[in-house]
Amino acid sequence: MYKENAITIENLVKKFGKDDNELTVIDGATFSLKKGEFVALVAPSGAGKTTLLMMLGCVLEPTSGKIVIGEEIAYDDKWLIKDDRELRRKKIGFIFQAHYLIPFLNIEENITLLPYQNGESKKVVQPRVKEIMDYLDMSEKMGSMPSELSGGQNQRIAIARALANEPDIILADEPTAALDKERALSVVKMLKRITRERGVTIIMVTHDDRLLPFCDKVLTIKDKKIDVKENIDEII
Amino acid sequence: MINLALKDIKYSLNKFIVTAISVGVLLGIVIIMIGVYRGMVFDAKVLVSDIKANIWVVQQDTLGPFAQTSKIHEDLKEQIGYQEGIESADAITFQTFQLENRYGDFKVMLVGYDPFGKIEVINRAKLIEGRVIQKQHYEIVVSKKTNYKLGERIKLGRDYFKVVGITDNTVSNGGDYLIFTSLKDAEILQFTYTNERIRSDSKRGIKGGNPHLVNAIIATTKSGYDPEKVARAIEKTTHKKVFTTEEETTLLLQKVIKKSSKQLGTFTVILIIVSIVIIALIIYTMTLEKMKEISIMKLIGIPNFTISKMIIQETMALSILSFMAGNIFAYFISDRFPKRILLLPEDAFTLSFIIVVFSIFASLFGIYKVIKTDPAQAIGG
Repeated sequence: MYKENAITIENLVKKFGKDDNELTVIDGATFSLKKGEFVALVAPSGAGKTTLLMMLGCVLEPTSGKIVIGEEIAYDDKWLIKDDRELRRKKIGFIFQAHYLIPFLNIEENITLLPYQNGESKKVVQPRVKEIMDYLDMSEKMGSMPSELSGGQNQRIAIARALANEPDIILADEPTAALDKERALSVVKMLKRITRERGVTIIMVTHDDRLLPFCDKVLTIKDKKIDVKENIDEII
Repeated sequence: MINLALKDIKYSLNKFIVTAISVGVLLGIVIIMIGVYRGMVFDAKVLVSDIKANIWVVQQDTLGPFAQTSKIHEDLKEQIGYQEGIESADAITFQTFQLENRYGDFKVMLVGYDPFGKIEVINRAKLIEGRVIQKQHYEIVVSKKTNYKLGERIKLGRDYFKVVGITDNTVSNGGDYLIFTSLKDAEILQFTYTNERIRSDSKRGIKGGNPHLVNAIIATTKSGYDPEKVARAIEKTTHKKVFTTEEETTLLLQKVIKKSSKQLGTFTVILIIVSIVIIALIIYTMTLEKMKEISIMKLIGIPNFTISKMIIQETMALSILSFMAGNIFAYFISDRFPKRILLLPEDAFTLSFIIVVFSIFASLFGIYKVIKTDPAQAIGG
């Protein structure tokens, strides 16, 4: 049923607070994203973009509804997965507005942390990491510390970390917000390439309309409802 | 697998070392306090164990000569010497003096003994220079810590005494350095008064002169005789109080230093508790400082076990490094204290065990915080 989809959401609701203080942020969202799609999530500040992203990443518990990651039902009015972190570790990659690399680990260690945690051997991990770093043109920075790299370089390393565990989905929360125009375009092009060449589904929160033409679909949140648009020109 | 604790320590090595040294100094102070306590208990027994006697005869109804003043006649030693089971008996005196030399002034305990007696009063193993007293007058053996040199002359009372021997690690039950003179000289020092005092006593009808009083008669028993039984037999025939060396040692520990050792012990326990609280706070703060990184790790999928292991390993590393720093610190400053600091390895290991156990306990608070942390905090969501 969910074979072709990377993510399937059915009637997802998220409310905060109780009784008089109850606030509905997402109200009955239903959509599905196919494997290898590059999707933008666009909405005004405070509309619930990060909330949706955190629910998709199984970090934040929805109020009701259904979340299916690949073919695995993660949430159906309650969590059905035993270990949310194992799911994230194996199937989901995260890229944030800031790079959020672990400052006391060097670049190689930041990238290999998750694969090793998944029990993968050095023999398997090392060639993959080298390939990713070559792909991102960052191979010579393997031994550097995050503090020694520029913001743009660190953001590329954050992308490498998100790719290192070969996830099916990458959730990117404004990954270009801290970058200048040129670097932002370069990062988005890289993400697009990743979806095409590696079959990873990427959901990218952005406020930058210039990046939308690179996306296959755009999710918008308006009045707590989520709308999926495939015609990018319509949005722009 | 990447060792997160090692990486984190390496990343902030200077901070970690400074923290470990600071905690180490605190532990060093605790180790010193324990050493002071141990030293006091040890010192209390040194003199009694150095004197190779196993019977102590003192004034009736007293706990002399250390816990209470005791004065008995010197010639009682002849009577004691003839008791069944007694091999030899000698008289001994103890009195405190305030001495002054170029290194400052200090309190000493003067031990007066018969240099021709059969009982060893100066522990030969502790005689590091010179010899024991071989004349009835004007020779003195001093403790190394008084800083007197061999051949130096010391004025005591009206007379000058020549240093003929130097001992090491000889102290009174109160931790004062020991000096030894002949019994005759000790009696003169104790009972020879100034002319004014003699005239004053004479007007009151008090006769002056040396009354030949000593503080105790010490004796050794023949082999095959139980000192306890011999002591009880002497008590019956002489109407004096008699203690065995074991009883005298117990008296010292239970009567003489009981309160001060209790006070020191209580203070040490309080210091240990304060140290544990400070170490616990440092460990908890170390965890809180990493909450951002911990949230990120949780968000990307690192399990609690891996993060908790990092905290425990860092706690262990801090405890062990602090323990080493504390011992080094204690070792180097212990010699600068005027009284004995007895650093025992078993005390250090017991303390380290207590510190490690409580540090791990403290790190559990940090781990609880880790488990409760919402990974969404990493992105402020």
